[in-house]
Amino acid sequence: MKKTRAIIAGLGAIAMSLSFAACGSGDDAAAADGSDDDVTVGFVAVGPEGGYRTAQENNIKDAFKKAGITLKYAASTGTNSNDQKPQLDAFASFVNDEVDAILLDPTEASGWHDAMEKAKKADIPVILVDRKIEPDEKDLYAAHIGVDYVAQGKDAGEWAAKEFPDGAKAVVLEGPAGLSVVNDRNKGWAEGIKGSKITELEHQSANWDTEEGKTVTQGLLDKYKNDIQVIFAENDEMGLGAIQAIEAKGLTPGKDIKVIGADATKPALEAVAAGKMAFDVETTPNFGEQAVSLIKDVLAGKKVPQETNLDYLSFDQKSAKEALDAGTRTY
Amino acid sequence: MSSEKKKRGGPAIPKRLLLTIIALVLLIIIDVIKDPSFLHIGYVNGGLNGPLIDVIRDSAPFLMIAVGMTLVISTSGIDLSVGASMAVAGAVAMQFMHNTNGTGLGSALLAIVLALGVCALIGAWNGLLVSGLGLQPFITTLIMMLAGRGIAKTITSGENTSAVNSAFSWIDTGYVLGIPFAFILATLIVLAVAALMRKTALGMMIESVGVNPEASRMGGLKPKRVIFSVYLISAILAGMAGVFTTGNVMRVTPSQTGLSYEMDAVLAVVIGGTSLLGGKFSLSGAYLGAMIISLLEKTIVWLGISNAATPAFKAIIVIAICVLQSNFFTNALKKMRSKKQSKAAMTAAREGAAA
Amino acid sequence: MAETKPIVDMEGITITFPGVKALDGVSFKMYPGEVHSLMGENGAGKSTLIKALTGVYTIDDGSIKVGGVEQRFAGTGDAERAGISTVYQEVNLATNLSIGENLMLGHEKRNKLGIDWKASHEVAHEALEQVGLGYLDTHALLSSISIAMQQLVAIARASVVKAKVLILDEPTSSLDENEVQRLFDIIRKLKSEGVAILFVSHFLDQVYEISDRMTVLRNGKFVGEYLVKDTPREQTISLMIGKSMESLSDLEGGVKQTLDEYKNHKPVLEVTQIGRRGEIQPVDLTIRPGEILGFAGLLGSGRTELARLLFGADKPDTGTYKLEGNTLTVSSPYIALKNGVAYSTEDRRDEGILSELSVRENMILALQAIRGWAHPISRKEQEEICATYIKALSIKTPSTETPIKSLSGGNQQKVLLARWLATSPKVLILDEPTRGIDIGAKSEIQETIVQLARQGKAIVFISSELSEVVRISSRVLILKDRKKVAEVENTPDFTQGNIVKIIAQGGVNENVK
Repeated sequence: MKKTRAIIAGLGAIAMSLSFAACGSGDDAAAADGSDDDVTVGFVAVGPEGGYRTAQENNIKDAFKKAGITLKYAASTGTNSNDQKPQLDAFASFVNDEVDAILLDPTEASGWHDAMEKAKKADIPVILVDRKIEPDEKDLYAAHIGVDYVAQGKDAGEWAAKEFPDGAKAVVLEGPAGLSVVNDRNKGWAEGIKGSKITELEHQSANWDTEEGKTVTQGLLDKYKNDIQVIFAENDEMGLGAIQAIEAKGLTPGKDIKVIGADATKPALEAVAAGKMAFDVETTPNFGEQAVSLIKDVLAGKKVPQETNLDYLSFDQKSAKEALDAGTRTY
Repeated sequence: MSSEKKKRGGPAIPKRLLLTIIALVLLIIIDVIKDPSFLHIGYVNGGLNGPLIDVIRDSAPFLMIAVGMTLVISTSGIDLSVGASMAVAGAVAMQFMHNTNGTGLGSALLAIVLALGVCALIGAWNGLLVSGLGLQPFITTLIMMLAGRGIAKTITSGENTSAVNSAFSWIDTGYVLGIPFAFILATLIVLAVAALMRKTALGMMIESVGVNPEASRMGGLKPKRVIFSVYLISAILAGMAGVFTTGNVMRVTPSQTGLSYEMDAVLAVVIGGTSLLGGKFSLSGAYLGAMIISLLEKTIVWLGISNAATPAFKAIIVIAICVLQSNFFTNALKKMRSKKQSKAAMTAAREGAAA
Repeated sequence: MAETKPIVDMEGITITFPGVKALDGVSFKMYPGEVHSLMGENGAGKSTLIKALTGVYTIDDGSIKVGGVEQRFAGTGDAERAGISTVYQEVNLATNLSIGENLMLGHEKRNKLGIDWKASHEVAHEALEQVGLGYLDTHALLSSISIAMQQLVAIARASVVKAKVLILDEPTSSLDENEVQRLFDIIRKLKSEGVAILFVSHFLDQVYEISDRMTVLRNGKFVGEYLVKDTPREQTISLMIGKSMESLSDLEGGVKQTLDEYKNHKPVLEVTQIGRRGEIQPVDLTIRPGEILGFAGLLGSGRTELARLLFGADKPDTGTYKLEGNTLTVSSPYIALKNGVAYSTEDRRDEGILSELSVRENMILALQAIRGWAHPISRKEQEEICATYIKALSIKTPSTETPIKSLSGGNQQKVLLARWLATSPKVLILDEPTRGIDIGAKSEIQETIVQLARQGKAIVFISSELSEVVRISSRVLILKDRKKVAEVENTPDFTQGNIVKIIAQGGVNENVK
């Protein structure tokens, strides 16, 4: 009986989410509606994309609400987060509405020149959140808040160097070729293991995907006859796949081979807490506080740094357990 | 497969199959030259283990979509939505087991039925638009390729959903008599499809519609139903591919699961010798084509081809295989000429009959 | 015709295909300003010779001179540059391009910006005007005009490319009488301009009407070159088939069916006021077992349209349909076949054969369709069906697994006939079953039809060759301008001339009867 109900609940959830697909998401009139403050900020956001994005956007919304600033939120589109046109439209309408400032998290790096030129003429400062624009025309935006991917890679590398003072063989699982995140984390990793006894065997792409992370790792283990001690997976999804591959080859992740993840998603932290993943560097979703303070400074006419990197954490088994127990993780 | 080969008659197909097998062996030889341990087969966790074992296990999703794509292409169509269908199937199955905390065999089976059912709806939608409304297959399935990812994301609310179910996981990672069950099941499914095609008249009808839908209609066939059926079959098989892929890691990544698998499927079909112009199809060719794709994925890792060079490497290998197939025999040049001008062949045969 | 230098001079042409000599030392000459017919049965080597001259095939031996210059064609482009232009049996234009684009393809007028479409369309328009098609819109898609018109457009292209030699391969096979006359006018005009025209046609009458000279080929060998006016038709036929005149008597005499035998049978098919707007005005029609009902009329008279309604290939707007007394809605070919009505299309290539499939598959297709996909015909039964019909219709094929596309036109037609016969139809509708096939196969098919009628099948026989209709029909239904104008019994004194008169007068009146 209980089981049946659970099944029905499951079916219902699927049906509901399917029906959402049809509606898409329009402009979400979030945040402080009743605020008397005359500062209004437009947020050209990415919209539903996954746990990280949701946590990040909620964090921003909450921060502005707390600060009493009106935040007009416009998501890219309902289901297909890679569509640039809704973002351009939203951006243009914010310029027309003469908002005081615009937060922009571009889905696509290129194609922003004209729109941002107009904002500049209208004296509306633009603050880039997370992703950057291409070409990086620094005079078009006031500031960029981002995650230092190089530092993340470096932390991972340094952790490995410290963990294996007598040396170890390492492989790196990358995301799709050409992405700046991939290049940055590669660069940081290389810096981190520089001068240590870590031998890097090779980089291989697993396209951010768990399943590919597993199959590619299996291939690598065969290739090096299981003689690998460290795997740096440049995102947690691939790391989770790598762990499964290690188990499938009859080895023990965390003991025989240490997997380092990146992003610190909840399932990855659980794996860290369980000792399967050895180490994880966080990609923090907490942009809100920084965004609020930057916008206040910009509107007050203060000079702000062009680049702001967010503080982030890294986790080993102990700190992962603590973080999970505290229940503060938002994604 | 062998029964099918016998049935096809005509000397051209077995020759082509032979060439595909040669290509497969050549690829293995390349890997072995790099490191002979490619052939090593060990025993881990109750099953055989080693690069070649991985190749046959990982071929399961490719086998599914290659066979489906072969049938669609045989009707001069194309199904670009197979990769997205895989994601949808994975999302449905994972989300269902996640929401219900279903860890038992019953849950696994129900998850599979649901996943395949939703994919059948996708296939029916594609089939209806292509056969009923006469929309172009490329456009119709391209839209579904984009929409499918959206559906998958919506099902999981954009998350990458995991589930715990040892039965579901066993489908892809389990062993029977030491052989990966995924490979056994996929092969059985291919055989079942082959039987459906060759033991009934469906295969001939698909080929007939692929050669010329109007002539087929005038011959009493119902081309719309035939076309509908291939899109339905393709989507269900893609759903099964999604079950294999997500079963491997018990996790679905809606934006990545099955990504660009449609291209791998088309490549497998081409390598297998079914013409993109439709008509005669070869399931044994598709089977080997899928094996080659799986082996190719393995080879990329084995040779350590760098991330950026991977697409180019894949392209070179596929082109090399196609050239091998088309140009291997001494009279290839003349054959190519006569293929280009089918009338030449016609005249030749006519003269032959007259002489 | 002054004996000037030949514009085309082919000597000792030999082309070998794997295992067979398609052409064996053939000579062929053409002079400016003449119409030269190439004669021979299918398989005689006509197409191969044309393809050698147009650069499609490279020759293994011999020489080709065009305008006195030795040529080595490596492709059709070379031949076209040498002034040789071809209009093939099956129109080889791009139907999804406009008429103007087709005419000018590769010869577009250019300006600084590339192709000057306005000027190009003007030139195209002039070219069409020259051949009396000035009223066609050069911007319209080629597919929007009839096959016949497309053929004329293809010929007009010859004047755009300033051809010295124009090759017309079966140009009249899809034209009606008027269109043939129009084509001949164009040919005469081009001839007077000094163009040498190579004419290939199965219609002996047309060859005699238009050509000055002919070359006869048989089995890839040169038989001879003759002046048309000095060579009687009977002689030409025997040169082509290599048999004496006596053995040809069957062809001329014909086999006239008499009605008497089946007069008292109940009709198998009765339709009343069946019609489809824009295609055929409502028609009444009755056919009894054992009867051959001929449809006579010019191309576009509605004969095919009517046949398609009877088969459910198109859906009628009006009328009732009774098969053996039962009212039916025949909304698809499947339903027609299921109920015993079969239709062999006039468009063998696009609506008949399944080119890539084997002879066997082509033969069993309709029977399999009736039985449904879940009830496959056993391999054994398939082989039996094949064996039966290959023997009964003397189909020449290397094996049952040979793709049908590699058979000759006549044999393809026989395979299709077998396809329909395998469904044991009560009514068999044959639309142009003898078009484009050689004389031998033609008479065989005619005889088969008569025999099928004798076995009690009801047959609708459609042909643009009136002589053929008169020869084998028991009754003739005459159509004109998408309307039935008369239905006449084919009494022994009835002739082609009667049909022509009825069509001309738009119905039967006293002095015809």
